[in-house]
Amino acid sequence: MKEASWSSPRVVGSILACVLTGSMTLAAMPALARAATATITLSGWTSSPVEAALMKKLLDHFNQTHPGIHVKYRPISGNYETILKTRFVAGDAPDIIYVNNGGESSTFIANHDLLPLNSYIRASHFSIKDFFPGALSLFTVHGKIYGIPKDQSPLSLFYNKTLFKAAGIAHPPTTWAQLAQDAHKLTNPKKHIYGLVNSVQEPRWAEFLYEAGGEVMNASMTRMELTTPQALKGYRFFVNLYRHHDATVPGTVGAGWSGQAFGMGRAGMVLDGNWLVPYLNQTYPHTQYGIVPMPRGPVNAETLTFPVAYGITRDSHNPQAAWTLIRYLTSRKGMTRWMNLGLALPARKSLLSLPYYKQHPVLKGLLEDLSQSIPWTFPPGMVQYSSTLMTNETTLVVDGKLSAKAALQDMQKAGEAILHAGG
Amino acid sequence: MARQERLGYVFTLPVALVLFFFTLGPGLYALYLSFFSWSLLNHMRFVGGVNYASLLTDPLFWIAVRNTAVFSLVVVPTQTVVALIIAVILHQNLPARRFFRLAFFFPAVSSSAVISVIFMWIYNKFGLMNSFLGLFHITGPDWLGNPSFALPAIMMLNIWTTSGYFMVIFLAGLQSIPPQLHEAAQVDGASPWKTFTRITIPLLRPTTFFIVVMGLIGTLQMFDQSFIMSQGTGGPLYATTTVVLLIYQFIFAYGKVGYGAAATVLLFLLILGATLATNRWLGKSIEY
Repeated sequence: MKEASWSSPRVVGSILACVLTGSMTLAAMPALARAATATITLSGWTSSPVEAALMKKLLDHFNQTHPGIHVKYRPISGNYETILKTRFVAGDAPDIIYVNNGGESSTFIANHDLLPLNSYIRASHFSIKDFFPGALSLFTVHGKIYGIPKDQSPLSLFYNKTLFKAAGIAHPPTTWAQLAQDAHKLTNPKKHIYGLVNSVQEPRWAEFLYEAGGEVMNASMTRMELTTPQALKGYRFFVNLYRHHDATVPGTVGAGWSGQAFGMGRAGMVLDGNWLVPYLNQTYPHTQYGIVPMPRGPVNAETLTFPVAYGITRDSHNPQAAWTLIRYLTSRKGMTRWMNLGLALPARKSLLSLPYYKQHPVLKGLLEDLSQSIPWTFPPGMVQYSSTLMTNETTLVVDGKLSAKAALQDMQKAGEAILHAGG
Repeated sequence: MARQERLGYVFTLPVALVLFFFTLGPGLYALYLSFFSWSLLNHMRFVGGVNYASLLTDPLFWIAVRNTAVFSLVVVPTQTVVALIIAVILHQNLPARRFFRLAFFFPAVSSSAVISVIFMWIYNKFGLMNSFLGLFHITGPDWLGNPSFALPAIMMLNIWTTSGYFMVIFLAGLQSIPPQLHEAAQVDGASPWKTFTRITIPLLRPTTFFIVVMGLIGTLQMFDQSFIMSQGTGGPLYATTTVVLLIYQFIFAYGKVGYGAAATVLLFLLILGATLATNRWLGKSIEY
């Protein structure tokens, strides 16, 4: 692999011009000097302008310390995967992209839009032993690694200390029974305060199925497992919180999402990830809150985690330079830099003991959840299923228009149909 | 003559090219794509009429058709009548009519996306709308979160934004009616209501035709307001899924390009049929 793109039209053009005029003029020199630097682009979604600014800072540091490579940061602020797809169609995808845990990442891998990184890992003696195996396995298909995890965010229980005190609850819940009880005590519809405020999308209820000893799909993702008694038990616990009006969706309390409801002081508890911490610091800095691991279920203590990776696209003109950047960003040192910005939790086990986490004890609950978390994803062809069908079925259940059992049967049937059709 | 014809073609060539490359061409390409299976990322595969067959038995497609039809049938008559009423009022010599003309026209020149975001706040559970209803001791719903109210909420927004635009067109139509017709009717002793129904409305027919057709096409292609207000989902419970939003989801979110292209062809036929029907109803010219 060449470091510089000698075949780029500009370089070829300037060389041709030199040949034609018969002399290597001084004017052509700067163009050649620039071409010796490999330019690569990196695109990812951004949760906020703050995240984009922090990422830029990190990449500026890389540019300063790696004179042969110039990274351009091109964040995509909305409809990330849709825009990325159109870039793939145009054959013009960025060199490096964020690879999501759910959504289309499995489709991108299945369609060979991402390069397998095994040869780069071997050639540069990059150790992958320190990464959480679950996070790494999400981006590994048949032994080929398509993404190096950059960070992850598990779901944990955020609780509002002020509301807990007002309701006379001394400690945050650690079991399902306490969770239901506390949610009931915290709820005051007249003041528009609810015990738990979350949308009914599948990442907010799937963990309850696992805690009851059930699962959504089997481990190899070839079968739906939604009709087991354990799955029903977990699902029923979640929907009953809503049916008893101790939990509600964000719109009921005038919020756009659970984090906003929590910041507004209208949610006693929310199930959310690390992304809520910088949001609260900026938008609702006076919220008195704590974070504890997901309350234990009758069988397990489990939660979901959402790892994100860096991948190299098939359109990259400079995969070697792209790999150099990924290696820099995901090395112990690079990841430490990223972790110290406080946006997400590490994908490396050894970084759990960072001094940053001693200085920010509020993150303890999230860190504890990492050891008992399931990296969340779906196989290809299930975006519509997971984003729309599962949410709609659950909306009908919490509104009392469908039984929990019937909804799970519907989801089982629709999911099996997609799996049989081969995605 | 031949030279003049050639010149005519030369002068229309730039527009014709733009029309071909950005409207007609993509339209024909959509027709072509509708016979293929393609996910944007994989290789295209010819499948014949399979996309059409499965689309016509897809309940989701029919939900979208129903939503779009209901939306159109409510919005088009309402916005036409509202626009006509405001135009007739502003056609009188009222004080501050310039101000009101501007105020009613303002939504038409504002960005639909910006207005949608503003209305998301108005329709918030604790927003302006529910505060207003609260004055009458009515507890309003979470408009956009409730499947029964989400589509009506977007209808109200749409009527508000488009009525002002069509009002201006009606005003132009009113001004083109020769005043002597009204004067003659007055001399003959016709009541103002009778002059309005027997002279004004029939003579406005070309204007009404234009407004109904534009309204039909606009409402049958409604996308932006649903997309923004449901955050791209068409929810809650498919309540705001219109045909165009569904086409967008099929093609860009779910990777069913041929399927989505087949839906665009069916939508084209629907709009063509609705326009032809309107043409038969209102398209005749009127002469006195």
